[in-house]
Amino acid sequence: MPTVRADLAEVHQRAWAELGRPGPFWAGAQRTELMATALDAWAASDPLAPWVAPSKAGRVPPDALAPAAAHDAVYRIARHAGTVTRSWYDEMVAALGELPYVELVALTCTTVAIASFRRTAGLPALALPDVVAGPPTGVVAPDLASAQLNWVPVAAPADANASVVQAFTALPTENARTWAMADAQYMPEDEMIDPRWTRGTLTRPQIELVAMRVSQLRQCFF
Amino acid sequence: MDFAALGVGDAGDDDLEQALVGLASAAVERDDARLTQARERLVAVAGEAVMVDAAAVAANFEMMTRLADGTGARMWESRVEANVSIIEALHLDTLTSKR
Repeated sequence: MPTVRADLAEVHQRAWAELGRPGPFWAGAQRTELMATALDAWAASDPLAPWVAPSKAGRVPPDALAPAAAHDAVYRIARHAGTVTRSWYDEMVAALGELPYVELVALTCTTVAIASFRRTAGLPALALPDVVAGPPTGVVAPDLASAQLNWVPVAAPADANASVVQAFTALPTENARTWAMADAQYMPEDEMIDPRWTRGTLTRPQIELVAMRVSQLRQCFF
Repeated sequence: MDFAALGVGDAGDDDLEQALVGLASAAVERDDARLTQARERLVAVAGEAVMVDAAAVAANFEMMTRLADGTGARMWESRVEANVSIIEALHLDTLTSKR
């Protein structure tokens, strides 16, 4: 089994465990249940079409702890993110609320990234994290603002940073986890300006080659 | 891929470039046999640490593409205009959106 850098292994272990704890709007048991939906969607050999909601196709258990719309959102983002439209986003927000939706996107991003890393590197899949009981934390950024560069609300002031950087700022814990992972998986934020930065393995152009290939195959136009 | 177009130097020798693209492609696709081959090829060409770091970068962009698409992220118009030459060099202007 390959050896994983200590910083990367540690940030993944911490992020995975965090998904079992209460988040801003979803309880730990709901989050782990939604992680399972994300993993099923990501790995499915017979995925639903993008326009078919898993809750309408019998893929959400009737006794699920999270509402059907939450599972529908997670499934679409995990499997068909490149097909997400503004009208679908508006539907999800009407059913779930803006900030609970943001938490679902962040949860799905973390889940898929860690599962993808382990599969790609030839490591065994992780079991779902232990659930930590307790109500959602309700922690959100003190001042929120509508953004021009994202559909979702962000921490004020909006649009002072790039859209991907501000996307999760309304939910500080989700934002911090995401960018701690990015630092270890890709490169530390402060180094992004340096086209010759390296960890001693891949050069920056080689890093960007991998990044572009994944983005291209995902048809991510950002 | 013509990395000279990015103005940041060469991505490296062809074998390594191809092995990196192979791993990145297999990371996204769902063919386990192809992924195993791609992983083994990259380890043979560049070593295990490079393979692990390439897997981490691929995972990061499995994360960032979902972040961008899920939150309706877009670029400043000025940034798009400034990047036209890179977009054309990478033939990104020929891609069709899933939307």
